[in-house]
Amino acid sequence: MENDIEIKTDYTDKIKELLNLNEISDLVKTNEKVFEMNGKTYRIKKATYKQKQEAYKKKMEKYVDMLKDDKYPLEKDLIELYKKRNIDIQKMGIELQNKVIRRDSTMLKLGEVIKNNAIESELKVFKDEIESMNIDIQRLSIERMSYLESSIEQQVSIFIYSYFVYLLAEEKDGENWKKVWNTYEEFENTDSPELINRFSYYSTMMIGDL
Amino acid sequence: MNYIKYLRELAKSDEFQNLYILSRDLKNIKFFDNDNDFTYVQLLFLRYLNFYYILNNDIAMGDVDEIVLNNSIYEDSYMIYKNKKDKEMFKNNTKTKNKEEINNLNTTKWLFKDSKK
Repeated sequence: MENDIEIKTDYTDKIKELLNLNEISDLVKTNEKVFEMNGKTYRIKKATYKQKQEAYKKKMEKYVDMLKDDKYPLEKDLIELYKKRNIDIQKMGIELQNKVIRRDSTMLKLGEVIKNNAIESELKVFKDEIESMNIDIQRLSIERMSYLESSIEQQVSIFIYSYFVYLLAEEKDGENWKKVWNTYEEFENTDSPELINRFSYYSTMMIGDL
Repeated sequence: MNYIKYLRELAKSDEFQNLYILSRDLKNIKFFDNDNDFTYVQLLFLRYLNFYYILNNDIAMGDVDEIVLNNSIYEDSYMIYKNKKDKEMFKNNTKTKNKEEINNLNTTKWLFKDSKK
């Protein structure tokens, strides 16, 4: 019985892996993605130069608007505030940098050991160490980011990704494509977070880091 | 979904590696429907195609054992080491070359022929 469950889970995992691989293969093939959701056909395409310009313009406007408003703190203001609560964000940043340096230097050592034909058990020790370092780096990075999430810099960064989703999302209308949301306000008030999540995922893969 | 994992898997596959090797000679082999305006994920895919091409080449040349392909940490670590070594070698070569060039400037390269009598 237990064995049956194990085989089933293994099988489901493999199917999932294949589906994920197909999804990526599909995304690599072209610079647009068409998908179905709740009986409707949607599309997202790589941003044109004009769309990028529009998004950056909005980003600047958002930044200046937030800067004018005293209730939004800059990263440096937040860091000072946290200091008063005995949370040292700067120290966290230095710690993060040091961890990355240590991880990279361990990878360099592992690379040399691989080149010199070491045995697998020896390599595994390095691999486990690097994996644990990566988890540590990720944890610290997420912790630091969550502390600074309410800063103007982070908010503007979240805003530009959302704005791109609003700009790029299209819906099939007969033979034509039309915008899913006519205004950014309409996008913000949408009752379909699933659709936004799907579009966000594809747009991040198309745009990358901003 | 960790898309980098799947992107690497695709780029590493025999199918795409063979296509990549062929595409270096046959210009009509296309990886994408679009010829320009590549997305972030497409550019990343091209980078990984080249990454695994270099790795496979090194294995074929006997520079590194196949064990390197066992997981992405081995692959990345080897490439970090290789890039560092290549950079050092390039730096040393440039230094030696520069020294040679300076030495060459100090020696005359004129050929004097006896005039015909």
